Formats: sequence, structure tokens, C-alpha cells
Amino acid sequence: MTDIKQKISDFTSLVGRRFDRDHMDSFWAFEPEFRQLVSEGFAAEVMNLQLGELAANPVHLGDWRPNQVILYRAPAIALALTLLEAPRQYIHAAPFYALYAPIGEFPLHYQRYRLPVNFRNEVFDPTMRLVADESGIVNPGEVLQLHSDQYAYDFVINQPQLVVKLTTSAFQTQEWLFNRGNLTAWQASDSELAATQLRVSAYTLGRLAHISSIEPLMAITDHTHHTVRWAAVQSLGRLSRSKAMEALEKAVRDPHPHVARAAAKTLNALKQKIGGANHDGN
Amino acid sequence: MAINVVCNTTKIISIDEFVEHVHTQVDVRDPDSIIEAAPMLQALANDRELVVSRLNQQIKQLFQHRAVSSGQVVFLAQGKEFYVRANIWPSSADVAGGRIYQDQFSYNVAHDHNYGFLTANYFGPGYTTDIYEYDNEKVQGYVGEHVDLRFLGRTLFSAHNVMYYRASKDVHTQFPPDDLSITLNLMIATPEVQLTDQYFFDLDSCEVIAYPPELDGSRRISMLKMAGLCGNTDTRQLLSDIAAKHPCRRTRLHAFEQLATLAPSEAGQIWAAAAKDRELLVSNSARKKLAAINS
Repeated sequence: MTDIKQKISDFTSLVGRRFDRDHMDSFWAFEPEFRQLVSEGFAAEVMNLQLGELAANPVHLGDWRPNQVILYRAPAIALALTLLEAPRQYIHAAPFYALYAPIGEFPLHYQRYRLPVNFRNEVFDPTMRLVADESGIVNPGEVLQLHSDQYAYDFVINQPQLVVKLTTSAFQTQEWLFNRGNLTAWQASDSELAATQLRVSAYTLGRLAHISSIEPLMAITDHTHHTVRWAAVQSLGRLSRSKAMEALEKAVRDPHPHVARAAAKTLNALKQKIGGANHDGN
Repeated sequence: MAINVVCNTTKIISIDEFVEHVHTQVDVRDPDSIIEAAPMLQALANDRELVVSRLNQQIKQLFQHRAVSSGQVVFLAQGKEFYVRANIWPSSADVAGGRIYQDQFSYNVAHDHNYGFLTANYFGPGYTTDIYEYDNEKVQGYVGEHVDLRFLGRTLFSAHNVMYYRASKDVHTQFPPDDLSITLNLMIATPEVQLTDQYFFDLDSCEVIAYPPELDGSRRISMLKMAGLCGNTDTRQLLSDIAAKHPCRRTRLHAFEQLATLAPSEAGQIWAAAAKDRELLVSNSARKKLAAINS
């Protein structure tokens, strides 16, 4: 194993052993080791490893994404080298904790915004507005902690900037985007691909309407992402009236207010429809 | 144009049988041989539990075994130099209602494919597609390049249709179906595909406007760009090797570019070497760079 591979392996093993996902704040304890990992020469060594593999095998494809080379990916954490090339259209409130280390000769400039009072990540509210907090500079050799449970971060990109990122898995169900102009919430989307896949699959299974899908759909009516729970409930409505009623009765008590409200409305409409049908039948 | 085969077979085969058929009967480098598999793909599409059972299984596993990076692709089977997948095509109402994001498949954007694929309608009314063709041999492959696109017709990709899209020949623009639709695809994945570009086109100006960012070539170039920002002397040697030998012209061009970024004092020599490249994409770009240096 090359030195750089060994270094990454040692570091990620350490984090894997010590990071306690039930106590997310334990993540910050890795800053010294992270700072040491990304010290002088790390990025060049990482890129030379990628280039060497490509030079040896022209069809080699590492874990390369647009403007990102992923060095390690596990359920709890990910380590990546990222290129910040242009300002993002919206200000993103990340659903994960992160450590950012700028690479190269230029510092990383950022603007930090405080998340709104009464902010609940899982309940999108377009009236929510960010509050400008502090702007800061992270010099090469320094590390920025992204406390995404309290703040959204926006990076000022004056020239392409390389950053090594250590991120936790998403601990929030949604990633919010805020308008740059008035700082109000614009949209929230699933924080995890698996949630999107479950939601789209649930919807598709409702359309395919096969009885074998009842059991898997019932199973995800308890999922942590409310969009998945509601997609499952809706699709059950296409598969089985009794199971849909059962799921709706449960969804009326859902912790997410939008789900609970939609479930109550749907349940009432269904009961009226059934009552009307029975009445007509009598 | 893209080859449309009407298949009215009522035969039903399993995914394993289909994969076995492709392994034993199909030459994945021969379009005619792939097209001959159309009735078998339709027979696979006649299995009405195929997608249901796969989605049920993936839901039970909470999509922890991640085979694809999209909510709209259902991976079905891997073969040697091919794979089989289902694509979910949301309607305009699905997208507007937020039920499915329009992520993986761009509607209303003309594009070619750097791989051939055979596709069958599996569920729903199917999407409509305008089909064009172009001569890839005449394209250098730079953004802004004019391309002669010839309109071949509009097709509703409905039930019992199996279509073969020719790699780097057919260009199409897809429009959302009236209702949620699903297609089954036999995707050709030979190593050559990884070295070939794919383009987005502007139909008004008939120009190349972009490369898909998730394309293998685009991902290589993104990595090269990052190397150019942090490299050392070893990086320069590796970039030099890639610039000289990599079979993908866009990869070579960007290797030269990053080499010049890392060694600006040697930019003239680097671009002079690039100007001798066998592909116009590289040599023409190099000549422009040299002209700028010498001006």
C-alpha cells in the first residue's frame, strides 16, 4: 500500500473506531488528526495517486465526481478533495457536520449565517430567513468547523479553491436552500440519496399497483424521512383500502405536521366517501 | 435513424434468461446483433413483476446496496460489457408536484449517447422523442462547435416498441410522457464507451453546448483540473504521460492544460507539443494557446 493510502486508511480507521454517531459532537475531536493528515503535500500525493492509476489504465475511473475526488466513503463519514469553483446559486444549509481545510496558497473566505429561530429541519417553511452572522477567513493549514446544526455557510470564491472535507453522514433529513437576496428559504430536498430512492420507488410501486408491494410499503411508513413515510402512505392508497386506512390512522399522529395534516384530511375524505357509498347502498 | 422494432411477442422471460441470451447470442459491438435481441427485451418487458419485485427488494433493504446514484434508475442485472436497467420517466405533473425530481434524464435537451442501447417500453404511455442524426467523425468536440444535425422524425415510444439508439450517431430530445412511464434498457458498456464523449446540443444554433458532467470523460477532466491546482513535480510527469498517451482526446487536451498551469514558464513548449496531437480538438486548441503566448 502506498504511503498516502496508508495515511488515509489509518486516519479513517481511527475515526471509524472513535466516532460515536449517537453523540455527533464527538466528531469535533478529530480536528487535530485531520489537520495533521492534510498538512503539506497531502493533496498532491492524493492527486498523484489518481493520476498514476489513470496513466497505468486509461479506462480507470476512481471515485471521481464533478469537482470532487472521494477518498473514503463509509456510512458514518466521508473524506474528499473538493474544488470550489464558482459561487453556488443558493446558500445551502448542510445536513451534516464537516471539517474544511483549504489547500494551496489562498485562504478560504466564508460568510456564516445563523439558522432562524424555531428552525426545524424536517418542516420546510418558506417564511424562514437566515440571519447574517460572521464572515471569516481560514488560512491554508487551518481548519474550519461547520456547525451545521446552527449555521449555514457560504463560501466566497475569488479563484478556484481546493478544500479537503471530512463530513459526517446526514443527521438532518433535509438540505435547505436559501435565496441570496433576501435570505428566505427557497426549497428543501432529501438529505440522502437513499431517501429519494425510497420515495420515488414508493410512488412508482403505487402506480404499478401490485399486491406484493403492500408489505414493503407498510414497512417504510415508519421511516425517519417524512417524505418517505408520506409517499408510502399515498401509494398504499392505490393498493389496499384497508392498509391505506391503517397507515392513515397512524399518519394522523405523525410527528411531522404536514404529514399529520394531510393524513387527517385524506382520512376524513375517505370516511365521507365510504359513508356516502354505504348510505347510497342502503 | 434510431431503429424502431415493433415486437408483439407474448413470450415472457426472466432477467436471468435475458442476461444469458445476451451473453451467448449477442455481440455487444455489433449493432445488428444487438437489434436482434429486441424480441427478447420485449419478452423481458412482458414480465409484469420484474420491476415490482426489484423495487420491493430494494425498499426492504432501504437502498443500502447502492448500485446507482439516481432515484430514477432501477439496476436490474450486470453482464459482461453490458447491464440491464429500468428507467423511471416522470410526467410533467410528477415533476411539478415534487413527487419525482427531474434529475437523471434531461427533458427538452438534445443529446447523443456515447453508447448504443436497446430500450423497450415497460409501463405507461411512454415518452415522445424527436430524433436527429449527426456525423460524429466530423465533430472535433469543442463547446461552441457547429454540428450538422439532420431531423429524422418524432416518435411516441409506446408499448410493444423496442428501439435501438446508435452510439454517437442518434441525437434526441425527450419530452415528458403524459403519465409516469418506465422503460427497460439493455446498456452497452464496453471499455471504448469510457473513452468517447457525449454532447448536449443547442438545436437553434446547431452547436455543441456542453458535456454531461457525469460522463466518464468529464469526471476524468474534473480530476485533472484539481491536480493542476495542487500538483508537484511528480504530478507534472504523470500529466505529461497522460497528455502523450491517453486515448481520449479531451483528456489529453486537459492534461496539457494542467501541465501548462503547473509549469507556466514552459507553457510554450507544452503547447508546441500539443499542437502535434493527431486530433484537431487538441492541436487547434494548442495553436490558439501558442498564438496567445506569442502575441
